[in-house]
This record gives sequence, structure tokens and C-alpha cells, in this order.
Amino acid sequence: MTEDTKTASELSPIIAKFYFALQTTTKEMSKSRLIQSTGIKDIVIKPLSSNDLSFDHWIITMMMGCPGINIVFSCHFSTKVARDLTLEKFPKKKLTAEDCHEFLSEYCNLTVGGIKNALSTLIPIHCKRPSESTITPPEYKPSYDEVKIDTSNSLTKHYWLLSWNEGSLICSVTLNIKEKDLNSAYNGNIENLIAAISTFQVDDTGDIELFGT
Amino acid sequence: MAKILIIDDSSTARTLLRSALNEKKYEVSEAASGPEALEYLSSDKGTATQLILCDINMPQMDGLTLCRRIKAMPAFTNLPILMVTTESSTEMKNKGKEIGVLGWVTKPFDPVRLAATIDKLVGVSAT
Repeated sequence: MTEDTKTASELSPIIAKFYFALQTTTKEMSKSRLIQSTGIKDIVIKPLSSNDLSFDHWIITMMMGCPGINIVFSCHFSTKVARDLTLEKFPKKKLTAEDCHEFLSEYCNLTVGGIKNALSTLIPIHCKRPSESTITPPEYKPSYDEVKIDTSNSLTKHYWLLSWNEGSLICSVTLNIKEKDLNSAYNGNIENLIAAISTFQVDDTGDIELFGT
Repeated sequence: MAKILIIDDSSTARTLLRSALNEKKYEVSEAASGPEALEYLSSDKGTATQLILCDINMPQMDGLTLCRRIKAMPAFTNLPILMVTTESSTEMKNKGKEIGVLGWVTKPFDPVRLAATIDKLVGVSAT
């Protein structure tokens, strides 16, 4: 096993629990944001099998980091899937391939932004140092040589399908939790943070706050 | 007709914001980057802008830096700006407050609620 494909037995129980909580939150966020972005109600999370592979994929990747935690979220798709999803939201719009890819970039932005916000809300309660987090813009590129899907899955690298009546989207997350950083940043509070992440409920309603009114 | 400027590098986000606004009430313009927004505001067309909806995470110039630049322009010191972003940390909101932005819209937004808020801010009847 390489550094980015560790199984639960290779990690300390508490860190394995942390990986699982982040993985679950990412999967739920990806599903919820796709429902919100497209209006398709019957989207479900499914495990990925080798039969789900396709060779005409594009990939969009976004990264976020906060004390002790790095998350890389990707979605892999064909232009047809991107077009089908974009048409759900903009049925009357004349779409270019770029419009469709851009639609999925914004979807990734909403997904990773949602994870970042969840962690930004939860971490300051438990973290002993400034908890400023970083996020990269979505980057999309052809993925012919990029997607070597290991369907065995691990806690650190995980793939899943977001599936609906007429199609599916492959998502993946690479998690890197630095145990030393985590222990120093959240000294004594890791269990509480895991509990908070495990019970986090995805919220798609957004918020409007006016200052000083 | 009230003039609104949408600033977001994502064409999807710009389209969603535009469709949330009633185009019978508003004249909506778009900019895909900070430099493009500054150029628009410096032009004759931009001077009558009454409200800005601005993203934060954009290449070339981030939204808060852009808003600081806009607020430094004498014609736009009091121009209401709403940040529309996936960012919702207290630190970021405090930075926005310091710059003088009027409010914070966290994506994904409710288009009906956003339209009602904008109607109220620009003083346009909701009917």
C-alpha cells in the first residue's frame, strides 16, 4: 500500500475513524449538491465497480486544506453526462461543451465549498491554533491517463458513483490526515471533532446575512 | 431601471444569479474577473451601477481585494456590495465587514430569497 491508499488496519483507530467521517461527509455533500445543482431528485450513492469505467472522461479536481487535513475532490465524466446534467438546470440554453464542463466545475466548487464551510464551523470549536483553511479553484482537464481506478477502495482514496435514472457521475476523494499536526492542533479534542463531523447534516439552503441592519 | 453588476468567474454562477433577478426590473451586467469589473465601472456604462453581486474565489484578483479597490473609487464608496460565495467563515465575513461590504450570500442560494433581498436593497417594488 502506498501513502495515499491506506486501509483501516494500517491507521490508528482514532485516525481511521476520522478518515471515515470525512469520507462520509464528502460523499453526502457530493450527492446533496448534485441534487441542488440539477434538480434531479433520485440521485443515489452507489459503490463503483470496474464495469463502470469509461475511457472518454474528463476530470475536475479541487483541493482544500485546514490544520492537519488535506482533501482532494474529483469528479470524472464524459461530455455527454456533463451536457445531460447541465440541461437539467438550463433546459432552454444553447450549450457548448465548455458550458457543460463549467457547470460541473461550479458543482465541484459548491461541493468542496460546502465541506470547507462544515469544517470551518466545526474546527474553531476544537482547534488550538488559527484554523484558516485554503481552497483551490476547480481545475479541469482530460483524464485518459489519469483515472486508474482502484475499486478496492481505502480510507484515504475512495471512489463512488452518483447515480440517477438516466446516468451517473464518478466522484473520488483523496484524504490526507497528518496525525502529528492533528494531535498538536486539536490536542485532546480529536474525538469531539470526529463526533461533530460524524453528525454533521448537509444543508443546501444557503444563507443571506446583511451586516449592520 | 436599476443597474446591477454580477462579478463571478463561473458562467454558471452568473447565469444562476441573472435568472434569479427579474430582468424587467433590473439592467444586469456581468464581469468574469476583477480587472474586467474595474474596467466596466470606470466606463460610462458602469457609473450608474446601483448594486454589485461579487464572488470571492476568482483568479487574477480575489473578490475582497476587488471590493476594496471598488470602495476606493470616489464614485462607488457607498455602493452596496453583496458577496455571493461558498465561503462562510467568520474570519472571511469579518474581512468583508472591514472593507464595507453590505452583506453575505452563501452559495447555494435561494433565488426567491435573494431576489427579495435585492428588491429591498435597491428599493424596487417586489410586485
